Amino acid sequence: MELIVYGQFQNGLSQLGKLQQDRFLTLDNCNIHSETGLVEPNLAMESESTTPNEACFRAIVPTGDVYWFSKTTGKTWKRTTAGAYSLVNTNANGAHRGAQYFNGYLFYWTATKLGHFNLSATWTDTFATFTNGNARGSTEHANSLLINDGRYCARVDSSNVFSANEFVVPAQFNLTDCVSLGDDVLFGSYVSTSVAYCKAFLWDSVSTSWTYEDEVYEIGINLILKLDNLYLAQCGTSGAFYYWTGSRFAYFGKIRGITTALGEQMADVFNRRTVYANGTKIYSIHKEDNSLNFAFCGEYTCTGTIASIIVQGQELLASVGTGVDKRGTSYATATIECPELEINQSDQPKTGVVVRYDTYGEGVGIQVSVNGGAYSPKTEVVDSQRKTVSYNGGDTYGATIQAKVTLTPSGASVPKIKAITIQ
Amino acid sequence: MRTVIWNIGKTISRSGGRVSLIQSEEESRSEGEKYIEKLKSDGETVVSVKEEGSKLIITLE
Repeated sequence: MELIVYGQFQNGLSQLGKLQQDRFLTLDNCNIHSETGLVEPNLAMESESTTPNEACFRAIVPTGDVYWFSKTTGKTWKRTTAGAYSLVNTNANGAHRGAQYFNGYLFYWTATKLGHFNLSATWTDTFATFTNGNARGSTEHANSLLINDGRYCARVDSSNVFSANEFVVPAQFNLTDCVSLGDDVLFGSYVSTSVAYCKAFLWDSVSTSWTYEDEVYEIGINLILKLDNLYLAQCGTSGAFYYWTGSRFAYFGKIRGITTALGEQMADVFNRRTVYANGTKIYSIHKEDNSLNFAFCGEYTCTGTIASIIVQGQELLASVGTGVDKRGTSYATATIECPELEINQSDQPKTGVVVRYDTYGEGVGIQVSVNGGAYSPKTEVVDSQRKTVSYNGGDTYGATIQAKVTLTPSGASVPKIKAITIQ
Repeated sequence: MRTVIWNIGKTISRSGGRVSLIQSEEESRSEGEKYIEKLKSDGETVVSVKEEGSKLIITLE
């Protein structure tokens, strides 16, 4: 039987559960982009602070200070650029729905009320009132701040005048996230969690109506992400992404096996990579070179369920409900799970899995599953001359074989691998 | 004093080559009146409401 080599790590996660070659079922804590063709562990997310101890939205101001706005209470915390946290306000209007800096003020809002902070001492919790009591996502566009509120989009202009209904969509739609897109604004929406279609609206921000609309057959456009010069919508309940063609959303791909729901502020751009948070994990959607395809990759794992993420300078921060995580200075253990492979029945049992490493083979662990059963850890043998890690047989007869490889760092020694071969 | 704007006027969609009414001017005015009542019930003091063009200029204390 010919060798099966899995080495194109830059292709990222697979959409198929089985048998797709050169994409991977699992990539956790993996860095597949720094050196194209290799995979190595990423730096680990670690707890930076046990406050804010509530799931939070976030906003950054020009000094680099990050403010965290509780999703469950009116509490607001400040994180300085030095990483010091303090409780700075308790919003009299209760739980927040969003926050964004604009025009010298830090705006924050609940479902019903818009407040602002003048960045010195004055917190005005009730600056304006939303019409529909369903405030959600926001964007800065044409020197104004747009905030969605049910079927309306409200606007704060550069003179801080609040307009409650700058944009209107049909009554059954609730606007979710929005993004400034050149001269236009792109809105996502949902009808209800019981209706499996929604619409996107493209508005020129001047006319009384939108320019284009497109139906998306998913339960809601959960959030909109920037991906290089594309705009992606994460939609529905099962990890699907669509890209904006200019007048329509077209299917882009999905992260297999995740559950998704309405929720803004779960994405950002970190070191040129678009990052998207789901559950405890942060995925990247990225291609390192224009000749490559975009790839989904599990890059980081947080200490709790992520409520929002933000990039501050070179820091990646995540609100996790029990505190804030940041990307630390030590490496995580990475996991790579290959597709399941059908075994030639005349070639039994398999002679094993061989991992070709670039550096630090001692940190490479191999587990093998036969016939879709539980993974069996192997006793690895490092061949430093051939730069391989393998094991001395022991696989049972079966119809399929599947390999899982772990990369465990030891201080500054970080395993990097080039290929996983099944032979 | 703070100023809040309510836009009045009908909203028409021309998407897909079809023209359809999303919100009539009457509905928009009615929603504006409801919004002013909501402001009052929330404890805001409405100093004045002026109509300028297609906007209601609501001045709050």
